[in-house]
Amino acid sequence: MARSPINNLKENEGIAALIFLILCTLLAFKISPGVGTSNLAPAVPHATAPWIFGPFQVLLLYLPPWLGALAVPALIIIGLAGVPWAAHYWGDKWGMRIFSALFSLVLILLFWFMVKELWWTRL
Amino acid sequence: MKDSKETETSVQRPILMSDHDQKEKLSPVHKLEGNSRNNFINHVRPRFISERVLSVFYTFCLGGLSFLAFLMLGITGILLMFHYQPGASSGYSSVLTIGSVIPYGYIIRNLHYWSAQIMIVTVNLHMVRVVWTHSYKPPRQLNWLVGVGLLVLVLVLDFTGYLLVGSQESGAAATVAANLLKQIPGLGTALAQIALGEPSALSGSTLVVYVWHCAVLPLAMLWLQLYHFWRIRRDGGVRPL
Repeated sequence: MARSPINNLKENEGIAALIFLILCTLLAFKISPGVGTSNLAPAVPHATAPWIFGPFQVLLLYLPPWLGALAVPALIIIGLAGVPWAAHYWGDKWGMRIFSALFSLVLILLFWFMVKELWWTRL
Repeated sequence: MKDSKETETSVQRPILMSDHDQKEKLSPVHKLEGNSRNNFINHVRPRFISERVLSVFYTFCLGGLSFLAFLMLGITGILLMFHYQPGASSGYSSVLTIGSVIPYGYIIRNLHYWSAQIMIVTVNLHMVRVVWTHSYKPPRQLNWLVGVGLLVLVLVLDFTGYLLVGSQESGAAATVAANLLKQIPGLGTALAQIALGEPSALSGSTLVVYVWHCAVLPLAMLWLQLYHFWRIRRDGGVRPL
């Protein structure tokens, strides 16, 4: 007996929500996030950013602050915001290319940060 | 026989048809469901959905999971607010108290943390999916902009949450952020004060950051998300490949 696709989709969405909640709960029970260094302790020589802001930290290492942490992120956000219009005026492929370039740049910087800050500095 | 009829009527043709054609030939999804619970769940969907996108493997529920993470963050955040005290010295100690003294405090804090981390991942994957399916195309450009705005808000919320831990690392992050904002000519110093208050170099936890993190940014995000959903219903959701 055929099932209604919309009902089938809703059931699958419910299952996805349950999996999500179980995953969060398991992570919460098994892995406690760090609380960093107490401000009463001796000053730490080098602070590592949370992984989400790793790309910023890498940019700040090599570029002047105004460029690395203001201009480049602003350009990335503006570039993302402009994807529909790029696709409209220059063609579908350009929308995809611009998005891929910006997203790849962030991912490369994130990988760079993870190798440099989280791996090399802890060896 | 009944099921096949339901399939024909409840699953609609692509949204590429004109609005007039849709009204003439197709029935709205929510009218076909039998009870109010289903009506509510269907109400967040576009009025007409292509049968080809009615698969969980087409969207991977990433938008919905991001919203679920947001709800979890709201609930656990409110519970954390009962015991968290912002401040250069009180922020860090109250985080330790929540983690070690308050009953179930560490679970609530861990849930808050992991929901936030997973939300970053689901939001980014959601954006990749939207681009992959070209779902930013007209008439959905405005909703794409709303989505980019939500992405920025998620990042800012995550940053302010990191500052509220009140550790030395958060103090360093707040100092860097304040110095960066001060680079903006004319507005910078005032902007740093408005955004961060007066963080010390050893703790990023301030009352200003706390209010941004617990009230202003979540409310702005909730409003934008509701608008995002409304635009999906109005402009159409995912496009079939």
